[in-house]
Amino acid sequence: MTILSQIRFLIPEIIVSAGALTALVANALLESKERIQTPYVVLVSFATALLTLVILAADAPQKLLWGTYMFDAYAVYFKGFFLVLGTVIALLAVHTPSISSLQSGGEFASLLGFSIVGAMVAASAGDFITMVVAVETVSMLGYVLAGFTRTRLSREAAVKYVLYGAFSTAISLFGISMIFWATGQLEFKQLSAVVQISPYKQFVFAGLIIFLTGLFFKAAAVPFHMWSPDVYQGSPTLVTAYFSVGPKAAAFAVIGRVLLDGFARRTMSVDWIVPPGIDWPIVIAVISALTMTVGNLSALLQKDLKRMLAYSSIAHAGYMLAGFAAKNVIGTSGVLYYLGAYLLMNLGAFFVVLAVEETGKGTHLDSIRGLGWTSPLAGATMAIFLLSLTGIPPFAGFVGKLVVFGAVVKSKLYWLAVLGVLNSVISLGYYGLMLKKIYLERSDEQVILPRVYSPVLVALAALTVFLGICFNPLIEYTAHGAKLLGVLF
Amino acid sequence: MILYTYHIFRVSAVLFGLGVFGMRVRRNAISMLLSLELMINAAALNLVAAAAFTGTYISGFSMAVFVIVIAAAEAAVALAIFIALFKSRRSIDVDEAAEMKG
Amino acid sequence: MKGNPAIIVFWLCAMLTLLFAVCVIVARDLVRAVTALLFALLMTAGMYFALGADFLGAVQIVLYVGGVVVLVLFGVMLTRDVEMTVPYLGFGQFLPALIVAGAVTWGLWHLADFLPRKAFPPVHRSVTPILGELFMKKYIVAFEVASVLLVGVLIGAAYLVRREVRREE
Repeated sequence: MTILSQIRFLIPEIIVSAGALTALVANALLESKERIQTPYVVLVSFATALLTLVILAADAPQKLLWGTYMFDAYAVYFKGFFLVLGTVIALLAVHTPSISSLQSGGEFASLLGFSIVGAMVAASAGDFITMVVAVETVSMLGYVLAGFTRTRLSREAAVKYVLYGAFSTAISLFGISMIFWATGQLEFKQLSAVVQISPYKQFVFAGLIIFLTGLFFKAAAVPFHMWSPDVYQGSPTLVTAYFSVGPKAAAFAVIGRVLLDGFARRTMSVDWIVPPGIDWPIVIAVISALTMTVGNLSALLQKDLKRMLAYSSIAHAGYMLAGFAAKNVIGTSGVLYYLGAYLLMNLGAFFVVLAVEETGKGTHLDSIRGLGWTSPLAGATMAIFLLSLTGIPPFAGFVGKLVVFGAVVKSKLYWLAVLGVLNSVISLGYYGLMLKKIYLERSDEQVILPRVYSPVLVALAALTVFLGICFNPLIEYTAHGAKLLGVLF
Repeated sequence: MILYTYHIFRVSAVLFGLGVFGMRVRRNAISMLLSLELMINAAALNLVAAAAFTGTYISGFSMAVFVIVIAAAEAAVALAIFIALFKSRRSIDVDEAAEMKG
Repeated sequence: MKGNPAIIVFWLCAMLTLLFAVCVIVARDLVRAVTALLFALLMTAGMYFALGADFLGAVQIVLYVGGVVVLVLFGVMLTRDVEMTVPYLGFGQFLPALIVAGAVTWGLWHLADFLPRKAFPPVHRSVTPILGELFMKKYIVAFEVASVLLVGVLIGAAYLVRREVRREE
């Protein structure tokens, strides 16, 4: 295939980049009153890109550009995921007073668009070079978004984020350089062949762990999570909602591909074979256990809604890592499915908090007191999101947990499965507390949701219920995506 | 004089360690950025040396070029954020004064 | 391999890099720290030349030394009225940092034993033309995403340091 015919598979990314640039130009040309509308430009580009992605998906899997770019179902799933995320965030950027009043809709839109492009490329990166550049795009534009509202807290969050983020980048780059020292390979598929017979396994394993440490920082896994509650609390809430899903999912996409494509093999069986001496599943299992336990226990102590949800998202990262530790197809497809469910329920929960914050009530735990009575729609949808986050049927979060921990049991990591169930019980403590505030306490103040919030919340809640009942098609697609990792083609 | 692979790795390890030390011991944002540059530099040195020793010039050198680009972009973002923070410290005082008057 | 000038240059540059790196960490004055960083990065470029990576050495000097260091100096100038010299931390904070960094260095130092042991290769091959071609072929996605990243960073940096727009109300 010539390069031009291979570039065809990059059309979604090109469309989004073009949209982001157009938004920037539009921002310069428009009057300040009309600038508020500029995120619609990227929104249209996200939707168009989603459409072309669906058309291109028929031609997957493809190994493009000498193995640096993989266009397989795994990548398509993540690309779709990021495009949906971008669409929702861009829509709310227009209708959230605290963001639109800055009259910098074009900057916000283009930063969001470029960040989504980075995430989309990261999902299909086939070698370390493409991966590093793409992941850095996501995180660097994230640093700017964290400081977007120019308040004191927002700027402090940006400083914290940039220092920890750059630190984690330096660590993972050093890890990559160690892997490269011992193997001389940067492509994941080639790496899996070299690693099997490499005589320098200790060195490669050490390099892998250092590399993963950097990524754990980005995914906010314990014990590398200390930056995330502060950054999540200080950033503008809409951006926090994006952070809790976007960069985290990008990190997961990369972790999955590096581990399962580069450091494992799969031929006919449903399990991946890990090269002897490079026993990463244990590392992932331990980090997963730590992450969910510490995340949930810390969330119990919080008094601020954004901090509480920040710790909750740490805990969810722990549940998802368990799926990789299981190192079988079901576990990996469970991670992808869980991410999809997490997108809906976590964004939903953050949006309710955002709506309450926009009415001027702040983000203290008491600000949602009586929400079920003052704004029945926000209360009811929040209840759905919280129940789904806890993992109660028939919502999407339950199915995600079931699949992930089913896979964990299947690979005989019983202690991790037990810990996962225990953690769901712990998480009921703070999710239940929020529910109690919403329904069992009373408040006289009226909460009026900003425009567009009601349909968005209803749509997210409806999808959460839908994915909890009709989960088969999505799980089949994610399994389809997981199957190709670690297979040479 | 001799030069083996492990010598170069040890040089870059010490450089990386110095960067980590600087990150932990300095509390000024710009000093921390300088330490970060040392750490990224250690990684780039590793990549170049590995490329030269294992004969995989192409991928190693390409990666090193991108690493340097990333480090430059990171410095730009970080400095913009630091300057914004210093500016806001001033402007926050102004806001507070205005609030008290109004 | 005795007396190979490249090896002597490498060791000289390596020692100077480490020396300047120490200066970066301990310098009280930020401008001095940045100057030390400049020399550390220059000496790293010297190591690249000694290893036969001419192109990388040039990139290092142009981009890192020329770009980053000047940028950081501007940053120092713009924030100088707030903090000119940086105070050292007390012993209580110094010790944990020393332990963490020491452990990292010690671990990596000993890991070096597991590396493939090879002597300095006198293989010198100009790869610059190949690199240029690769950036347009194999690594085109990385190349293009890097430009997306740089545009985004430009927009972001300009946005963050721009003067605040007064609200029209």
